[in-house]
Amino acid sequence: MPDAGKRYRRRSSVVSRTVDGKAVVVVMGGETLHSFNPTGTWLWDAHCKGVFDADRLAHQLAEQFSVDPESARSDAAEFLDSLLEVGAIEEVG
Amino acid sequence: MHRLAEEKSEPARFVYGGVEFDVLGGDSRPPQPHFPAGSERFASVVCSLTDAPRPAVRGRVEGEHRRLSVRWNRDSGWVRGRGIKARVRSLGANRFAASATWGPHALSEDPLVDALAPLLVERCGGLVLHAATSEIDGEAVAFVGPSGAGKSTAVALANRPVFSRDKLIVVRPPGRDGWWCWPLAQGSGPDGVPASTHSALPLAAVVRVSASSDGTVRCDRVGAADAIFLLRESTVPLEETADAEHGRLEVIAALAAGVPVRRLHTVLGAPILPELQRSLADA
Repeated sequence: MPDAGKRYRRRSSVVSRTVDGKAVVVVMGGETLHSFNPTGTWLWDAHCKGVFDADRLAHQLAEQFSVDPESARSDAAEFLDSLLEVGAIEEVG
Repeated sequence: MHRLAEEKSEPARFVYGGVEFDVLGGDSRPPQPHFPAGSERFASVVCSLTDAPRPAVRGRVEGEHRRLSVRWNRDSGWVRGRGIKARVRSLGANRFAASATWGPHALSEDPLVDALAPLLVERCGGLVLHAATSEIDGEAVAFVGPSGAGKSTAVALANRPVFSRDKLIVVRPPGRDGWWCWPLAQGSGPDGVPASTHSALPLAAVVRVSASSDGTVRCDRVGAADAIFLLRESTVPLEETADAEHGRLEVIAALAAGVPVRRLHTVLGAPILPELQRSLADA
């Protein structure tokens, strides 16, 4: 699970395109392909830009979807975990 | 002058993958299926080819040599791998010039043609799909999916002439309406199904094949995002840069908007044509 306080950014080897509320994400090099559900797409398109962290994503999730902070933190951490796993993001030094 | 170049008085001219090749020098043996010069094409290239001296004992070919390395900048670039090194220059209007050297590890009958055709397709706003393709009612239906998904089985079940067995070039050619396709690389395919005699066909549909889980043959529409996902999944990429990937996704989105994309669930031994035609008639 991503540590609190760690910051992330998209890898330069990632290209995505969003159609009908679903993002298709290509991670080059390993040549893998992923798609996100509407919530994941919203987070990816609107908030996984520049440098971001778990707290920021959790805050946005809680605000947008009116979920309790604990659930939002857990969902944000899970999303970041999956992004790290597929090589779509990297930790910022 | 090189010995082989002296032996050849005429350049080799043929169409492969929708590209008309005019090869001067060297020993060009185009892969199958290729077609006579003047056949339907979307691009042309004049190649000057030099054979590099070959070692007495051929070296072992490592996996990385099988990959093509490609770089393109504005109107020129290079491609390297599979035993070929080529510099390519755009002359505008889908015309190109290339100068190439064969290396010691040539991996196909003609690595120049093998490497250049896919590169020029991408430069002309097209794609290479990993697809087995049937000619149905004068158009091409491309069956796609990962290895083992049942592409060749679908072609056999369609029981119509085989247009491509393994790879397919997909382009919007200048002066033509819509998307057209050309076969690339023979590959393996179902026995007993005759080959199409056409060098190019309009693309009627792209169909992602998978085995049916409930024993019924079904052909379903897919959403726009899923269409892009499965087309990208079936695309053979060449240039691996972010810019090239952005361009590829643009082309794929245009293809998904212009050609029906379906998901076909097959059952071994059951004909697919009625269900496929019903689904495409709904387009």
